[in-house]
Amino acid sequence: MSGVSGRYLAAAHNLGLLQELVRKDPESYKEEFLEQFRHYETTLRLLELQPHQHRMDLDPLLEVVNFLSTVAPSYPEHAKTFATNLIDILRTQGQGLDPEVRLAFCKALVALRNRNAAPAFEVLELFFELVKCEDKILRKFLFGSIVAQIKRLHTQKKDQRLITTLQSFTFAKLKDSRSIVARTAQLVLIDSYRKGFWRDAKTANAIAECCFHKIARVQVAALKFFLGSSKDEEGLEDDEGDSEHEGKQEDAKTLKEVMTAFRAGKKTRKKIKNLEKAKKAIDKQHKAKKDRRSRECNLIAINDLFDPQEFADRLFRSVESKKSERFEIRLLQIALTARVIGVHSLQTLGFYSFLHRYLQPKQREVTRILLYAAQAAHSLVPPDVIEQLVRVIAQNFITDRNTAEAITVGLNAVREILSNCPFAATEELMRDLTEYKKYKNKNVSMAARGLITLFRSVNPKLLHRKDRGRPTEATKELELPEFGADHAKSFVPGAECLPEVVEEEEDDGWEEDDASDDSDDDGSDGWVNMPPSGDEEESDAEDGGEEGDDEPINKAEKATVISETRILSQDEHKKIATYQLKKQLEAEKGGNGRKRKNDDVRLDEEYAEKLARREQGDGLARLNDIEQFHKKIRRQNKEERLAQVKEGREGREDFGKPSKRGPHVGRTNRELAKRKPSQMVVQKKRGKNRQRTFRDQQLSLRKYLQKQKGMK
Amino acid sequence: MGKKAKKKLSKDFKKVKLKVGRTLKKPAVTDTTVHAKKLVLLEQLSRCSADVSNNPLSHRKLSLEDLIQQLGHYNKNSRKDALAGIKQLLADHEEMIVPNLRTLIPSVARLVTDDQCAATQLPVLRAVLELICRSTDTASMRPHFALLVAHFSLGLSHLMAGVKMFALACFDMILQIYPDLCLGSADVFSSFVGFLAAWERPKASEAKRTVSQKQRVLESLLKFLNVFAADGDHQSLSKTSARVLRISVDGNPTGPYSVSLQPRNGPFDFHVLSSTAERLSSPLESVDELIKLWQCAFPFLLNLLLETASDERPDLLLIGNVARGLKLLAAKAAKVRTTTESGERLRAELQKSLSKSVRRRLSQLCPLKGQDAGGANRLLVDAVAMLDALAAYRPA
Repeated sequence: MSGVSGRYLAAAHNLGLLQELVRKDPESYKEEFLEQFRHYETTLRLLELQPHQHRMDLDPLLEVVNFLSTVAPSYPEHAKTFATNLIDILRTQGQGLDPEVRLAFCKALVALRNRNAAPAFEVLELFFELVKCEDKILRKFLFGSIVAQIKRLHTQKKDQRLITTLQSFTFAKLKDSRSIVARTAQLVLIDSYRKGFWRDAKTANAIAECCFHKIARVQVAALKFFLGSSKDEEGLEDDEGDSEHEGKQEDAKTLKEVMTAFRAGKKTRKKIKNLEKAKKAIDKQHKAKKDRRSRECNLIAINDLFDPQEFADRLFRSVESKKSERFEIRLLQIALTARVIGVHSLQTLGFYSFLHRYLQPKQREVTRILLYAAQAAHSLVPPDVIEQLVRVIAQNFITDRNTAEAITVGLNAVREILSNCPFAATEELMRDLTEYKKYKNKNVSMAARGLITLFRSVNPKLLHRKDRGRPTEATKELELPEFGADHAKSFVPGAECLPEVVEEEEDDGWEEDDASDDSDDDGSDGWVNMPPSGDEEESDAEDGGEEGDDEPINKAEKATVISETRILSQDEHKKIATYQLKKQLEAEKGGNGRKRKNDDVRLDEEYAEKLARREQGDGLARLNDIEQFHKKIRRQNKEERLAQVKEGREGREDFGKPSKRGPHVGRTNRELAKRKPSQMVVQKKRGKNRQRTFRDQQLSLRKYLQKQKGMK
Repeated sequence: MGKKAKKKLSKDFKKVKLKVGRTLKKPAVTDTTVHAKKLVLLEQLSRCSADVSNNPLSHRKLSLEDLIQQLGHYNKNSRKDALAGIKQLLADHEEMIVPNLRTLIPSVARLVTDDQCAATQLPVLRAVLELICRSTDTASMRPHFALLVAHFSLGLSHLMAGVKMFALACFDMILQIYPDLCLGSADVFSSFVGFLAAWERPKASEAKRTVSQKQRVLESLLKFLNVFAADGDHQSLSKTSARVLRISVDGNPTGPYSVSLQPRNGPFDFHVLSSTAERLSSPLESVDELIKLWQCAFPFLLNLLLETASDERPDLLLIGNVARGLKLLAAKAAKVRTTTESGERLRAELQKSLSKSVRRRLSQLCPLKGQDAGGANRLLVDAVAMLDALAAYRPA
């Protein structure tokens, strides 16, 4: 009894304690709650009479509002009045309120909203209104809470209708006349798209519409959203991603686990260090994960566009028409146009000739513009357009008058463009460009050789005889690139390496496979029907296979037969892949033993890497393809070198020096003795513990006396 | 050495090197920028301070503005000193109060809710408030009254009991000094009823309510009922509202170009300016408000009466007060009950609270023990009779 009343007495002074009591037992503490509610109401009336409050009166008000917002949901009808009251005040006097009070009211509303005690739509509407207040902290809070609410709705997945109304409301706010409202709406959309709460085509297209907004900041944000991170454009992500994966496999512990493990154990120095390391690693993981997610997201958004052709045309028109706009924005617009053209293979043919005027070595950010030219070049652009583009680059960059860097960049750009549209290359042009392989600057010569490497595997006939390299299996099968030609194969290339007659075991294997995915009966029927026609061909192919491998027609026939008659297993696919790889290498093995130079190996590796990269993501070129310099242009100066060294030393202990940290560092033994229990120290009292012999004492006395007299 | 010295000699006519894209410096330039500095005359400053000294100062040489500023100081001792200074200054110069009401009231009244202030400060604060109220007449207080009441009612709903009791005392004061204004203000009624409702809750908190606290609440309730439930308040209201504000353009107050404003309550009370609409009649005329008051006041009085009467030596004065309160309440209820609209609800409420058992217990109390219980007895008997009449009433 006394305990209860004691707690009650304490609660009479302490709002926090009262809050606890009310939350535990809302029924019996209703009166207390009502009293606080009335207190709040009277405070508001006072606020009405006297808008400027004394700064010391703010704290109690904030406390009461906080109390009510946490407790009110236990009393639904009061919570409702409280919420509507708050909304009314913020709506009518939001601009004039004290910033702290305003923020507290907003926080209270969010708290009510989180327990479904406030209407969602009104709150969101109100928050968009309040964004107008010139209050940075409030704006930040509002933005965060709007996104958090969207997240809540997304995770709960209860009220789909509400979500759609909110979405269309936010879309409408994009067209608001006040720039800050439009901007906030846009940021909300972008954030919720990135985080996946509203990842749909409607949102993506609403953001796309912002690329033509009249406010420059909104425009830039939309453009940057579609372009993704600048790091991605520069192509700087691969190594991080790899190390990331390894780390993940090693320990998949969460931060919480690590922290609890640390809290439980003894805190040695090593454990502290390990904890810091683990924390850092987890942070890095999170960051990388986020990065990856946003990287995917811009490509998804571009793919979600309803009418990419129209979008690209509009964007291009706006780039073309507005001369007065700042260069940075224009560059972003050009970038996005190129990206959309490249991803969707669009026909915006004016774009290429538009780029001509920017393709000068002295132009600002010319490497980026070259990159955009390369990104916009895809296999469906007419050859004459690309030819013109390449010729302009060649004329402006790849001449002896220019610096070596300009030539390198130009050659790289030409290589990137031609790798997308090899049909646009002419023999004359190639001859001119490949002459640079003997150029005295290494960067230039390597760039020229990169171009040669590309054409060896694409169209060796355009190269000089010497540059073509040894013919391999792969080059024999090569088809000449033609504009608009569709080289679709009716068989799995390389399937001829497999035996035609399948052994029993393998048979069982694929039958099991077939049985496992019994979803489509029609498919299996088809397979049953096929064999009679295939048997005849099989016999033909057998003959061909025995007679000779060097006939490509026979090979194709055999491959057709194999790929038509059965389902290839995983192992067989692997076999095919190695076989295809072998085709390219064969010449080297069989060659007359000329050793390949390091540079050749490097070029080949780079080419293979590039091919692999083309398969994943958007498959477009990156900035480091254009700015590929084989030799460093600039050496580090001393400061940079030292900085690098210091960076490497981070986290390593000093060698040889005693550490100056720890609980007892910096105390003398005497000081330490004062802290010890007297029982330990009493033995060591100075003088008592010295065991001197009588003779020693005598000697020292004598010495002392002699010194005194000055005899010694 | 000698060569160096020679080099250092400056030439009169240097040879100027000409280069492309560089403008020549002029050899001789006149600086035409003007610098201005402020002149500060010490005499002027001293005269300024002399002007200030014409204002009355407190014993510590602080003017009223300074003191008011210090009332909002975060240090409670400074606040206390400032309050003492204000008390002394205002007591010496009472004529200063009315012109400075606009700044005085918000700064002084907000101390009512100050929960950190020492117990010794409260009487001083009370004295200052009383001083202000006593030396300000109703008309000059009218524009500031809403603010004053708002501060007091904030105190009434405060979490801490001490602040509450002090705010109650403040309410007593304004009920006594400005009954008209209180009657006209909607806030006074609602906040008092709210306080009473919170006071009358069936909780563990009952235990710590001392008798003296109850007595004080009872006294306040009596004063409140005297203002709100007593009859004859309409005359004073109509008296104040008879004033007319005349604005004339050509100087002739009755001429054709004069406008006469007939304010409802006072020259400063316009609906646009004041947020809470003031009423002409007592809020107790409406049945809803009366029911609210009844619901909180009647149980309070009843419990107090039963408790006190069951004591060994009942406090007769207290019982008399309670009976007086009951009488006032019953009289008001009986008066309002006759109005036709929504009288049914009031009747139901009365029936509910005045059940048979309650009435029986009341009637058993009647002959009080004690020597001079005569006055209290008489009051009690009257009250019980009125309540009985209320309960027995049936509409025709």
